Amino acid sequence: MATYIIRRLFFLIPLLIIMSFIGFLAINLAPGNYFDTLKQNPQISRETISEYEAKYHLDKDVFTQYFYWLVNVSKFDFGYSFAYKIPVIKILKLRLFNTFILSLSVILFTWLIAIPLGIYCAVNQHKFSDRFFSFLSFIGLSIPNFFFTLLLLYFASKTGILPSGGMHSLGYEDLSGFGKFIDLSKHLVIPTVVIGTSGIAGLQRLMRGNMLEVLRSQYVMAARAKGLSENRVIYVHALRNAINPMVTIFGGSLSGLLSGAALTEIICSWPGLGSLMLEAVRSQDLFLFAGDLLMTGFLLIIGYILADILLAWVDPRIQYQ
Amino acid sequence: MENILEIKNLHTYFFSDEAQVKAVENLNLKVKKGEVLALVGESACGKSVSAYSVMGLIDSPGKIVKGEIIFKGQDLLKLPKKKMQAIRGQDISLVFQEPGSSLNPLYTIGLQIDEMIRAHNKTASKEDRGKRILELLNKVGISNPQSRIKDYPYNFSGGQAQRIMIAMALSCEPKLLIADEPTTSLDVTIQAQIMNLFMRLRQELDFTLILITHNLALCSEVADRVAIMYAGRIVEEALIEEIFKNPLHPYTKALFASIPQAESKKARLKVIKGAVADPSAKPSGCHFHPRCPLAKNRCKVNYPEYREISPGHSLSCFEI
Ligand SMILES: Nc1ncnc2c1ncn2[C@@H]1O[C@H](COP(=O)(O)OP(=O)(O)OP(=O)(O)O)[C@@H](O)[C@H]1O
Ligand SMILES: [Mg+2]
Repeated sequence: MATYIIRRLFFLIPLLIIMSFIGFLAINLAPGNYFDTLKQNPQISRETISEYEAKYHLDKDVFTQYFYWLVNVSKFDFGYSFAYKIPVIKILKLRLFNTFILSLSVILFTWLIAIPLGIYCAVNQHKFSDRFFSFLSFIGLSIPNFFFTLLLLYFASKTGILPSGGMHSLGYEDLSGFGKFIDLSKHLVIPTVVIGTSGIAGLQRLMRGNMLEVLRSQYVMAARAKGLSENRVIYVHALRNAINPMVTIFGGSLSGLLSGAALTEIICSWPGLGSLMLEAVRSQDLFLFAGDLLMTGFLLIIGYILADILLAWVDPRIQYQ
Repeated sequence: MENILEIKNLHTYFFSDEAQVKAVENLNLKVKKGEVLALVGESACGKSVSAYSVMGLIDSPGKIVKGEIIFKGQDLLKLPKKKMQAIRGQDISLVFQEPGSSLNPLYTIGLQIDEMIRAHNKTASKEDRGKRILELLNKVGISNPQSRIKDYPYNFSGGQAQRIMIAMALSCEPKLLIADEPTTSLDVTIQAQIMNLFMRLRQELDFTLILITHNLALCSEVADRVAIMYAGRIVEEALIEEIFKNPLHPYTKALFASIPQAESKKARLKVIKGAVADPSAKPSGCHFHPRCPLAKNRCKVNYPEYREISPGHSLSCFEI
């Protein structure tokens, strides 16, 4: 198992290299760079700019730039953000933490609602409650996130119950530990609900489908034939089997979360990796962009590896050699 | 002799938007205490559905529309769920058609036997149950049981899995065991071993056995009595010697005629002329009439009454 994980991590390296290179290429193909804006500023001299360009090898071609960047990254030096004027790593750390908080909140929200709901609907198939929740799910799936966010933000600003965007209120630093937690939680509500709703709908349906399939299987019938209680048949025999495929989905959803959250992060001005990506592209802040891309890619793959480990843990048939 | 089980007028249907599948229709069957009754019929004639009906395992979209299933003097169909649950596995056990898919892939076989014993005997201690599991596995011929109770179903071959299913089915010493084609999915040498196992266990444990099968040849070796099923009904029923000596129903005769081919090829009994009646659109009158060499006009209109023509030998056919 350990060797398997190490091997997976090892294969991850070429993948990340390819991804970051494409990123580099893309931002280079876009017209202009960060210094073009600086050049408009009469207070900054030509010499300073050339100095900068030379220092970061920006006067060279894209391959050379990329090569130097890669060498630095291997030494955990992610370069310097032109816009923030601090090392990229410092920004990434903070943003990673913020995205992590939002993701965690979304995961808890979606899974804790979707899984029990899916089980409930499968067990009560064709009854009114099943139809009702399936209908809700359908609505949840069909509302565009963007529209839903605006709706909720409008509601928030009208009623003032919830903060309309951002991560902290003014004066956050002066709050007590518990006060900080409450403040953060309030800010989490809208982005979590928005990102989570479509997720809940999809997951609920998947879980319901899995559960229905398993409930029809022969070993579930055999478990009933043994004279086990209905609860044991459903929650011990069927559920374990229906949950298993969800573990793979879990890894995928970690990854999907990171990319799908970007839009919501931007609209709710949540300072995470997703909104950072947009900022970096806009200001053509090359190293910040590359660092963000690398971090996001890394998280995506970690998500899948995590899912693999979980799957091996829950399914005795899977053994990694 | 005393009847351990009596199925009266049983109708089990499956409902879907397009059709109503009358899987079992007006099934009447008496099972005598201590006997081995073979239930024989072609694929899709409703053998498994009958077994599931007795076990109370028919679930939506299926429904037992009508009938009685009398076991130990009570109608199982009228029992509350909890009572029926206690009877399943404790008094009546079922061995399924495919051993491979009857075990939950995610739990050890030890746990799966243990939970069954626990369900019916709440007072047995962990050690007692452990001992019992080893004893059972020994009985069904799993070698080295101590080392195997922690194994998962994928660690076992089909034959071994069926042995484990048998051990499980017998774990609470049921009075009646229904074995639903217990050997069909296994290869021939293993089939013989499993049948021998059944017969040995019956000597030791003294249970009544309903053996569901395609295979008439197999019946001759193990069964006391045979009931022939066609399109959801019993069409003929007699002692084993009688049915081999004197098969009367045209369908039974056709089944016997097909034995040599059925043995030479492992093909199921599909060698009878014509197709098995489609349970969602059964032929009118006697369901066998489109394939029957004796069919007359009245066979197309009315279903022949099920009658006893000599002691212990019953059938439903106008022409005999
Ligand atoms: N869950 C179900 N839903 C709909 N129809 C069903 C269901 N289970 C069984 N049937 C139908 O009932 C009929 C009888 O099926 P059954 O499984 O009892 O046949 P069988 O005699 O056991 O055949 P085999 O020898 O192939 O096991 C078939 O036509 C089958 O399609
Ligand atoms: Mg069957």
